[in-house]
Amino acid sequence: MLPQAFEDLQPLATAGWCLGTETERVEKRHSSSAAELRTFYDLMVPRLESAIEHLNEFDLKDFPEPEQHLMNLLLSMAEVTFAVEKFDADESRYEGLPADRFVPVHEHAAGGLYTPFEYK
Amino acid sequence: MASNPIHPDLTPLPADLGRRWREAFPEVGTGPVPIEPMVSRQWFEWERDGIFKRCWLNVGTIDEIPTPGDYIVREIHAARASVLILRARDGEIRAFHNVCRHRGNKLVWDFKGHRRGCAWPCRFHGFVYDGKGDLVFVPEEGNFKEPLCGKLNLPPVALGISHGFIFINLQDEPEESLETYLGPIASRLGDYPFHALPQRYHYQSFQRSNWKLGLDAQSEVYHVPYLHGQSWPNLFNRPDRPHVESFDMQLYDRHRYGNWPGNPHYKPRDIEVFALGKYSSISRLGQVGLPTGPGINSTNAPDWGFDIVHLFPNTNVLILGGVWHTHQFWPLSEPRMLWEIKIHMPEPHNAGERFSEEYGRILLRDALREDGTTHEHTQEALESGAIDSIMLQDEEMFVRHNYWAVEQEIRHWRDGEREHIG
Repeated sequence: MLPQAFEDLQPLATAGWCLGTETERVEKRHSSSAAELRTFYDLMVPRLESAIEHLNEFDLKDFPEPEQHLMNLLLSMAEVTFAVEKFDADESRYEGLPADRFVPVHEHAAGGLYTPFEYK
Repeated sequence: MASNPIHPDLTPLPADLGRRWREAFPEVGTGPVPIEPMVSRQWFEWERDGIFKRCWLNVGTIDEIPTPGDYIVREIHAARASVLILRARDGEIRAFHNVCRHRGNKLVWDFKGHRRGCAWPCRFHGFVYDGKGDLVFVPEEGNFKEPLCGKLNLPPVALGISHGFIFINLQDEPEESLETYLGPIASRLGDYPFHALPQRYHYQSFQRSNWKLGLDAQSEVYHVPYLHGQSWPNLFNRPDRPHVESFDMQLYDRHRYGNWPGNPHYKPRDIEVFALGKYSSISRLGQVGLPTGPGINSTNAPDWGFDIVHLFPNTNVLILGGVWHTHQFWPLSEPRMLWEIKIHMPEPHNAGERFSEEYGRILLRDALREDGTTHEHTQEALESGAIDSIMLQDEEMFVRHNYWAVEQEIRHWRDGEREHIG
C-alpha cells in the first residue's frame, strides 16, 4: 500500500490512517485513544523528513497510488501532532468545538452549508 | 525611540500602555458596556433592519468567480435574502436575488459553481436567465398569455467592488456609494497582495451565540495566553511578557484597523521545526518578500505579527505575512449566528509545502474551535441576566468600538443622528 522504502509504516496504513479528506482525518484523530495517537506519532517522527524528501520528487497533483497513501499519512500526521504535542495525546483536555461543528466546506461540492431562514 | 534593553529587535513597550486607546478615542466612552445588544430580540431587529438591510456587506472577492459563468450564492439570513453573485459573459460581476420570476423558486440551489454557456437555468420549469439577469428562454412560452422573454428579469441587487472585494447592498437604491461607505479604510485593501494568494480553505460553523460575540473573540488578543495557552504557546507574545499589546489602532465611525506584534524569538519545537520552517511555503514567500503598502503594518514594526482590517458590520480581514483570512459573522437570530472563515495562502509546490500548510492550518483551526466554545458559553451565561454589563481593558478597544459602532449605525438609521470619531 505504501512505497517500498516506507514499509515500516504499513501498520499505520493498516490502522486506517491513509485518509484523503480533512473530515475523515480529524474524525479519526478525535476517536483515537491516547495510546493510538502516541503510537502513530512515535512511528512517524523519525520518518517524517525522509517521507517528505521522497514525496517532493513527485508532482503534488499526480502521485502514484502508494505515494498518495504516504501523503495522506503525512496529512494525518499533521492532525495527530497537534493532539500529541499540545495536549499530550489526551484529547479530553481539548475544549474546542467538536470537529463536526466546524465544517470544512472546502470539501463540500455545494460550497457551503444550508440552514432555513428562521428566527429561533 | 529608546530601544528595548532586553531585546533590541523588539518594538519597546509604549509608556502610555493601558490608557493610550481610551485617550486617543474618548468618543467611544470608558464605562462598562451593557449586555442588552448581545441577548435581546429588539437589538436583533434593529440590527436586521438598520444594518444588514442597509449597509454594504462583503460577500467575497473577485477571485472566487474568475471565469464568466462562475457564481457564488450568499444567504443574508437576517434579511431573508438569498443573493446570487455571478460573472457574466461580458466579464461583468452582477448580483441578483436568487428568485425565479415564474413561481418564485430559488434559481440556484448550491453556494458556488459554474454554469456552462453563462446561462442560469431554473431546475423547476427550465426558465433560463443570462448574466445580465434577463430571462432569455421559457419552455412553452406560447402557453403564457403574453411573451415573457426580454420582459422579465432577475431582481437586481446593488453591487460594488473595492480593490477586488465584492460588496452587496440590499437597499433598492443604496443611500450611499460603496466608496463613501468605506471611507478611509478602503485604501488599506489596496496595500497587500490579497489577490496573489488563492483561497484554499473555507470553514462554516453554526453557533448558538449572538454574532457580535463571535466578532469580539476575533477582535482582541488578550485571551490568547489563556484560552489558547496550550494550542498556541508563545506564538504572538513577547519573550519578556506573556501578553500581547497592539502596535496601533485606528478607529473610524464604522470601521477599524489594528496592528499587532509577533514573537520573533519564537522557538519552534518538535515537528514545527519542519512544518513552520524548512518546508513552509510561507518561508518561501518570506525570502522573496511580499510587497505591502503603508496601510499594512502601519508602524513598520520589525516584530510585526498581523493586522486586522475590520469592515463594518461583520467582517475582519486578518493579514499576516504570507497568509490572510476573513472572519465573518452572520446573524440568524439574537442567539444564533453563522461564523464563516476563508483562508488564503500560497498554492503548495510540493509535498513538504502541503504538509506545512496542513500543520499551520490545523494549528489555526483548532484554536478557532476553542473560541467557538467561549461564544456559546458566554451567550448562555449572559442570558441568565446575572450580570448586566461587561468590563473592557484598553487593549480590548476593538470590542468597545464594536458595540459603539453598532449603536451609532442604529441611531443614524432610526433617529437620523450619530456621533463621530474625531
